[in-house]
Amino acid sequence: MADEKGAPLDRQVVRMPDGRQLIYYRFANTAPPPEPGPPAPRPSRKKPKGKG
Amino acid sequence: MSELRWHPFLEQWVITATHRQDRTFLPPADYCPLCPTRPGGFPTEIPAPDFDIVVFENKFPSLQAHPPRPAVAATPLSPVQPARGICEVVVYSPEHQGSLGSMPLPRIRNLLRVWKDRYLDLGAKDFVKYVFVFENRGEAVGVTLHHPHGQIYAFPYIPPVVEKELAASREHWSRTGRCLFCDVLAEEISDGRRLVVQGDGFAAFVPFFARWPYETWLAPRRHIGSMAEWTEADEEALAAGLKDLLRKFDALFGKPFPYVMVVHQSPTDGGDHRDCHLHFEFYPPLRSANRMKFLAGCESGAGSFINDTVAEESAAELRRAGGESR
Repeated sequence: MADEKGAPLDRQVVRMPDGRQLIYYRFANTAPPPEPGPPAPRPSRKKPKGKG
Repeated sequence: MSELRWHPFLEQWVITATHRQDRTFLPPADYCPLCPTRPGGFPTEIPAPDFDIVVFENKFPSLQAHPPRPAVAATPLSPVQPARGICEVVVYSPEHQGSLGSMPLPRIRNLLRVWKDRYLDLGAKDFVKYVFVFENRGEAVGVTLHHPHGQIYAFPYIPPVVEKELAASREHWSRTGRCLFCDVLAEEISDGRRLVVQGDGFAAFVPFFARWPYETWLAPRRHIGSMAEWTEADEEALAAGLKDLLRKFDALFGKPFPYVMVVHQSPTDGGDHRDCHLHFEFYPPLRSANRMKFLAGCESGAGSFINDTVAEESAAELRRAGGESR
């Protein structure tokens, strides 16, 4: 398959509300491009923090 | 509090990062901050409902692009500097289950390309001297989130282990005109007793001088200094090598095999590092199915490793694990 290797590397840089950078990398040989989601509802119980 | 404090005896920086005490610790799977944010679900670190590979700045970074001023004043014996740098999290997959070794080969190849992109991007920043790609796998090595992911630290200095390795490589190059790693690799391939897996473009071996019972190094056969020099063929070879090796790790004791994986490659300090040969090093903490190798007195206090196994036997065990590989 043509997309098995050498698929163009596509990246979308976004800023999180706290200013941190987040990059979505997309590849034609795996998943379809993600769409930035709408603001998610607040969690019903204590929200885990981030990655450490 | 976050700063770099100078260790005058070991002549190296120590990073203090007290805010990391509050980071997420082994949350339940349905509250994983590295999963996509599902419609109606709780907001994770990743707002999109699906993704391929994602990289984001760590919420609890040890190094920051805009660090706070040090909380203590420096003295001539105790230099202190802002902890400047960048810490990123690389989420390998939207799937919560799985691991680097269980991912399909195209996804591993894609991850290699993401690493390369991060090396080029982070390494181009004037305050970044070294781009350090690594992964901690398993609670045995302190993992706090099980979702398949790794990390990247963009250091404002060359880390001490790498610096020592580079000094030895430089000395060998100036004395022989050859790459130390290329010479070691040629010897390992020629000897063969410590090889674990090999292919046209890569070889993995338990080094003659292994410090950990199942310590394994994986490297491209051709002399490549950094990810910037990777070609598609190199990426393909290394992805296959990673998958082969990690499959053997998991087969060894019939359960997920914990490890620390690090990539050593050329610094981005603008210096001449033609003697550097990119490679992966794996430090698995197990010395048997249920026993850990600890960094105890001799290792922590004297800096001298005691390995309870010999590399030739460990490599033979790994070669047998999971059957023939290629």
